[in-house]
Amino acid sequence: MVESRHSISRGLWRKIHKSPLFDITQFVLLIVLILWFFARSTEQLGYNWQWYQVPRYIFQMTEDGIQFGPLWEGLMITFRISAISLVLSLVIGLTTALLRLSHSFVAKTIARVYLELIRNTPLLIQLFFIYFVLGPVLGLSRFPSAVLALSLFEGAYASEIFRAGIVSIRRGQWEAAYSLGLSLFDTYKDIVLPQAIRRILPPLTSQAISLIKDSALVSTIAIYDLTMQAQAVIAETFLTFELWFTVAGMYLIVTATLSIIVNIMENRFKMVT
Amino acid sequence: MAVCGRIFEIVSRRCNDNQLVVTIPNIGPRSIQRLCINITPLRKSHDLRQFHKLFLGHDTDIEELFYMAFKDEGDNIIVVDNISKTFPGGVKALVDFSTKIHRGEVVVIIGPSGSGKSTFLRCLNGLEEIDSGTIEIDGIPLDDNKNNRLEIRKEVGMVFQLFNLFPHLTVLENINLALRRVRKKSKEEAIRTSMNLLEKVGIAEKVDNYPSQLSGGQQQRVAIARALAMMPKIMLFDEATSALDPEMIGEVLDVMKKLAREGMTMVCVTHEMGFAREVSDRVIFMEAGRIVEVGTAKHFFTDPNEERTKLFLSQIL
Repeated sequence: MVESRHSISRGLWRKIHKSPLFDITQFVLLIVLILWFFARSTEQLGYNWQWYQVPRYIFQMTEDGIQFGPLWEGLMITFRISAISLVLSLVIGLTTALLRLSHSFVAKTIARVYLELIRNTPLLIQLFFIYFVLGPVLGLSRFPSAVLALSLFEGAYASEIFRAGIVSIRRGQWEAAYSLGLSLFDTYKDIVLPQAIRRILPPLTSQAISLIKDSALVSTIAIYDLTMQAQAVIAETFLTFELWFTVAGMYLIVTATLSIIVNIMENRFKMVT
Repeated sequence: MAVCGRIFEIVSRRCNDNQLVVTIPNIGPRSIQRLCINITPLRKSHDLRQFHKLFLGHDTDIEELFYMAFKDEGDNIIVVDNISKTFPGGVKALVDFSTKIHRGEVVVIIGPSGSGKSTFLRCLNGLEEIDSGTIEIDGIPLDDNKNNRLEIRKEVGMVFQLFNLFPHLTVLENINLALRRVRKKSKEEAIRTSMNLLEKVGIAEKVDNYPSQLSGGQQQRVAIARALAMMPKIMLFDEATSALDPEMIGEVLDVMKKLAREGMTMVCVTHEMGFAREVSDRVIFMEAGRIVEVGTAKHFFTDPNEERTKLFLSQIL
């Protein structure tokens, strides 16, 4: 008798557990909790929220059409720096990975020194070094300095991701390619990298997202990227929280878009198994 | 007939002047020491047995005859001289190993695991570096010269135990790839060749599938087709059937037998004694990196000389 009642309640529980309503309830509860937490903290902060002021710093509609505000301009700079650095860091990363995997002692050493040097010092200092020390020597202005610093920094991490991906390809694949007479270049191009790329896309995406966020540091050498623009506007308006939240949201939109694009790529690359 | 056909091919290929002189020690009741073979009746008859009757008139074992005939002289496509290979960690895989393999010969290498069979095979196309000794493939020395290595890799096809197909490419692309990249064929030509090969190994209908969608036997047949696409002079089979389910071994062996009949030079590491008995011209029994015994399949399975060979055969047969 007791046992049967027990089994009935278990069946009911499973039913509830499986229904979509259960998921929705959980989600709503979570949102309510966060909102409550947020409301409580602003109440205690005694902050005067002025969200209505924010949009004009992004863009506003005037008689002449859309006028882009400083935040939008900053976003475009961030976008440009990140995009160029991303491409360069992938090139640097792949090259370094191949150098490390080569049989040449010199190549391996160069790659190793670069990697350790970059990975074990802060990006901020690298940025300063390139802009203030190398910049005048090589004739680099702000923007190229920033791009160079970011690409070198992220390239080091990307190279480790590439290397891990390449090493993960089974030895038999190399041997098969070798026994068919494929050159090293063709083996990488046709056999190893196409398989490795499927495995390294997720960590590489994380790295790209890091790059976008790290690009905020270029504001320290007075490049008017998203972060720098926000700082400037805040200095004038004291809309500290509104603007920083907005900026965070804008970064989020950029990185989320990137994630979605990579997701689509991943699905297209998917291997038939 | 298969063996005869192949011997005929070897013989005719090696004869430019219709005259071939071979030395046959201690063969037949009359102990023929020197035999002149006139190739013309051979060409007509296409059958060595007939020729055999015609010229020798007695019942010697033709396989034995020709094995002996080509044992010491002849068209060696693989010449391995005194090679040694020690793996890091001190395992001696090959110790002063020497052998010669003729064009068109099918050699089966057997032996207990760890005897260096696979290592020997992998040395032949440079997958393993040898510590000492020399290897010559069709007159090209396998040394540090990159061009030589590339040439050899083109001439030597290899089939692996675990197939090693490229999982991100379709069956057709797997076969195409080397044709396009290494042989620099046009796309149409590469596809035509690939389709022919797929038909030969009997899976033309799977051309657009990915390797993971095929059974083990089918994958191995694709792997054979892939190696054949390069038109190699030599095929190496490294335990090509060991990873297969029993019911799939036959289909792969059939393809291998077909190849042997066509006169391909084959070196096979295998545990398929049936295959060794039926197809091979010569069986090499190895242990601890050395050759223990060499002989024709018939000799090997019926009357081996060495005690070690007898013991091994008693364990596996």
